[in-house]
Amino acid sequence: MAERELDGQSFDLVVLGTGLEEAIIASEAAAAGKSVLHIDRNPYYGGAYASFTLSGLIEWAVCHRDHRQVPIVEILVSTKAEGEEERQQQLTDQPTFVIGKNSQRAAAPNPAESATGSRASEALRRLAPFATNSMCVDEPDSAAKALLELLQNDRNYQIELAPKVALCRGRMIDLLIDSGIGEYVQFRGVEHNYLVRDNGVERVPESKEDIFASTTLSLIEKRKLMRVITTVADQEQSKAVIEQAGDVLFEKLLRERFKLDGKLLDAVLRCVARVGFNEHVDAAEGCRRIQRYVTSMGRYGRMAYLCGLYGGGSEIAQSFCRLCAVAGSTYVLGEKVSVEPANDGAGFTVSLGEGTIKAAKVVMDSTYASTVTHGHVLSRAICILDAPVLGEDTTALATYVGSSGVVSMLYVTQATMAVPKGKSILYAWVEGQLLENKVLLCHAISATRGNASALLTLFMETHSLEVAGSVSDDIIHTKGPDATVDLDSAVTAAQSITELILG
Amino acid sequence: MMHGRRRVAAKEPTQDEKDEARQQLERYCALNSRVMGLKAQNVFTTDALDATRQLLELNTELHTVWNYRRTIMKKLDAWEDTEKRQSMLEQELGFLMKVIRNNIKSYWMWNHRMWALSQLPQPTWRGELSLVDKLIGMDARNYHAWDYRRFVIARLKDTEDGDAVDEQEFAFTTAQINRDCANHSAWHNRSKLLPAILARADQPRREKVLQTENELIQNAIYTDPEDQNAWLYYDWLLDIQQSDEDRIKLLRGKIAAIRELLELEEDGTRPLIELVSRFAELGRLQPGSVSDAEKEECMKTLCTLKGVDSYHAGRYTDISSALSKRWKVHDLCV
Repeated sequence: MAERELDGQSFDLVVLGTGLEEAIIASEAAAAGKSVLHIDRNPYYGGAYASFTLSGLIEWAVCHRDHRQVPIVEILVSTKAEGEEERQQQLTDQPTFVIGKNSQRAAAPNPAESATGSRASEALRRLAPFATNSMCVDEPDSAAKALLELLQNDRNYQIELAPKVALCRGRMIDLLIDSGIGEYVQFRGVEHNYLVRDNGVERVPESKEDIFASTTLSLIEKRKLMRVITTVADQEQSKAVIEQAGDVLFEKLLRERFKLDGKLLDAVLRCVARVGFNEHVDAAEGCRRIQRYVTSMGRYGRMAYLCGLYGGGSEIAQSFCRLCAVAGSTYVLGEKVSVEPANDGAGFTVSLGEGTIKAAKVVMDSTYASTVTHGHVLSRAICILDAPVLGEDTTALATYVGSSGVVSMLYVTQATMAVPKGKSILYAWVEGQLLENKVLLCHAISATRGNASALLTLFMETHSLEVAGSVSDDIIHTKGPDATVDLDSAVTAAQSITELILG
Repeated sequence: MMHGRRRVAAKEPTQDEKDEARQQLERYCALNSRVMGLKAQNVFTTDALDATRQLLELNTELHTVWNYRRTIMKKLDAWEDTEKRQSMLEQELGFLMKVIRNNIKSYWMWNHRMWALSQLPQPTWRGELSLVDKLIGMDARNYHAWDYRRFVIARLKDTEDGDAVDEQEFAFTTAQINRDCANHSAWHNRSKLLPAILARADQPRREKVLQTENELIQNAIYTDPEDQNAWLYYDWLLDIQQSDEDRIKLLRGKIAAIRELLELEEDGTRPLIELVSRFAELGRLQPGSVSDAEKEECMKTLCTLKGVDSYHAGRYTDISSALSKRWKVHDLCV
């Protein structure tokens, strides 16, 4: 066993968790010549950024998830009875499975069972105890049948817990290029940016060509949009505009200086500058965000974002781990681990299975800490649709702007190699508790999915965990994914921790 | 110049690269004097043809060699046989494809391609058109490709329904303008096609076509008022009107459109200039049709222009003084 070989050894840095931030920190420390031990208590990479097959996702919900980080998971399986094609189940219906906080942890699966049929029945067996209406495994009811059918394509899914995209001229892409990972991690352009409102879905025109060719914008709207693009996107000109406007909110600047309202305002404010519902962004920051977007266009084609293939963030995290391993670091997965300050006061003692390891410094994903307080709360929905609603071979960002909130959405299809052909997945997320935001998430999905039906919808509430009063400067906690759509905040967080560690 | 491509910084060549370049130069000079020698001795053989081919692959700009090549081809026995000529010229087109990749903007190469096609016993104009489509897809503003396109289209119209070809071409320019409304080649080609389309149309259709053109221009002007393509096309549209009456109608329409735009954006340089010159034009076409208030508006506009576009202050002063004399109004720019 790994822990026997490692028993008694000491490392410059022990990293717990293989989420994106931890993986970046580990690989940078290893590149700087530190001896690194990288551990994950789960048998998979990616932590809160992980991606799973459909059965893997169910297994995660039942066996692996940290109940403090993800207290609630609800799964709703569409039950379309035969001969009743027209009846469309409402997303707000009672969920089929509720996997709550107090549910027992089921035993880890038997790895010998891997045939498709048994994986599907295994997933069903796991879910059965959480069914909201009694369900019999031997004589599957309609929900079970629908789930079994979905599980036939199990391996073609790579469903992400925290989907994010990379800004073409952002920190993540720069880091991937610097580290050489960019040479083998595959991306696909996020081809479109959609504004979703209750009365429909519209593409956000992003360039002069889009604006010129648009048939849904009036001439005056075209002129207004072009002015925003040419003025705000230009550093010199936007500086002058900001000086003139003084200390105002970005929204006010758009409304008053550029006379934007209605869908134009939503498109620029929510879809391009990505200002949240209750977020206060000043004019200078708003202009910076537009510039970030516009300068990202044209680097790898006309789009501003790239989407990772085969499960995005998780795939990138694994690539950093690979880089770290190549630099000589040791990896241990699926092993219980705990950390105590060393008795002699210098560094830490890491208990890994039966073995003990000494660490000068420790970085951990906050789910590894024993006492935590709850920070930011996010509500997420993952919706598998029976048709590619926003294009068959494409990837898109979408933003739902409703009267009670703004929801970020990522639409993926077979183009990302993470969804079977003919289906699509819509990820939606918003800040706040699920109890208060479930209806909003449902509105966002319904407004986007058009005529397609939701085959399976998973709702969850995720909490960022904060560790109060850190014991020492030598033990640092990472925070995990936030509400932003791009990966840059993870890179920023990881790099500032790396700086602390390397001094 | 290639649009939308990054310029690669030149770097100091290594010794190996210098040697390589010197050897290449020596080979080129030897080949050049050999070809010129053959030409001086009036040699018209396949060997000579092959030598010109090697030389032109290295340098596409030697028009003397292109001329010599054509002379050789016409003097070969194969030229007289239709089948052999067909295959020889098809090979020639293949060779030219290779040359296109080296230098897409060589006048001599395009000239030679036009010659080869026109000598081909059974030319394939549709094939040529798809080649041009590909070239324009690579660089939408390559005017050689556009020029060659017009040549191909003209020939295509001899073999196919000319009106249908014109309509297709017209739709093609619309698509190219939608892709990039600053593509002058596309606007220009459109202006070449429109008269024929208008000439064929009856009055209601004619009005509909002109209406579409107006909408396209408006669209371009609202998208980017400082881009000159749509404004130039507007001027050209005025020129092809059949009567002064039509011109005045179009001018009035244009003035209204500019005013609408200026309401949104009062300091746009190009719309301001256009406003003044449209009034001047209107006054020239129909003396007395510009009201006193409009004359004053023009003089004020010229003053504004002097302020917002100081680089051309002299030009505005000059226009202002000319108009004030013509219209007998006070010159505000002095």
